[in-house]
Amino acid sequence: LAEPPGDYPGTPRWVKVLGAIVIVLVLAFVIAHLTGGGMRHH
Amino acid sequence: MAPGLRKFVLTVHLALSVGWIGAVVAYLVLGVTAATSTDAPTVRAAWIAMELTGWSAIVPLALASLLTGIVMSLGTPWGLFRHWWVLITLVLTAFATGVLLLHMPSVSAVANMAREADAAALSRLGGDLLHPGVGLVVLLLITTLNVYKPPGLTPYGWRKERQQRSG
Repeated sequence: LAEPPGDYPGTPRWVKVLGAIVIVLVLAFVIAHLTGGGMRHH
Repeated sequence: MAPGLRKFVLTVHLALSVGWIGAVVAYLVLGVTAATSTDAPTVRAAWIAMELTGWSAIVPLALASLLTGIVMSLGTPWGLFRHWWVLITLVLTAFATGVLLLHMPSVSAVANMAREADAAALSRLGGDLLHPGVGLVVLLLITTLNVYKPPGLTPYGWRKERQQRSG
């Protein structure tokens, strides 16, 4: 088989959207954790 | 991996993963109970049960689910780094397991406090909603990715696919 033409088509849009959501979730989790939003005795 | 073995490992992986979600739901219920109950013995019992549930169910299920997930990926054409949904699943599972392992010693510490605390101290213990709540969201996200398997190759997967087609 011949090598398919073209370069890497790029990162899918759903990966970028999900990545943004995950980054926001992780930041919110870390901030809530540091400000005592988790366990009181943690 | 042979088809029969693949189905067996997949069955084990699914059972472990679903069990992980169920155990987190049980932990969340206990965490809400500890946060909202005004009955001191109930708060004490909830924290002791959270420690037991965490170490005896959630941690083993998380580690086993991560391990069988890696075995499944490496033993099938999906690979571990070729498809975005597999890679993101791996990262999220490893992240959730890491946070869990870092968090459980704190749960044990609070459970030990609850064992000896009087009613006034127990009323100040509170619960644990953040960790199981976020953990549950992450696990449901992973489940969704695994069911829908959204298309998309990573740059590594793209190169491998080109090599296989040209080879």
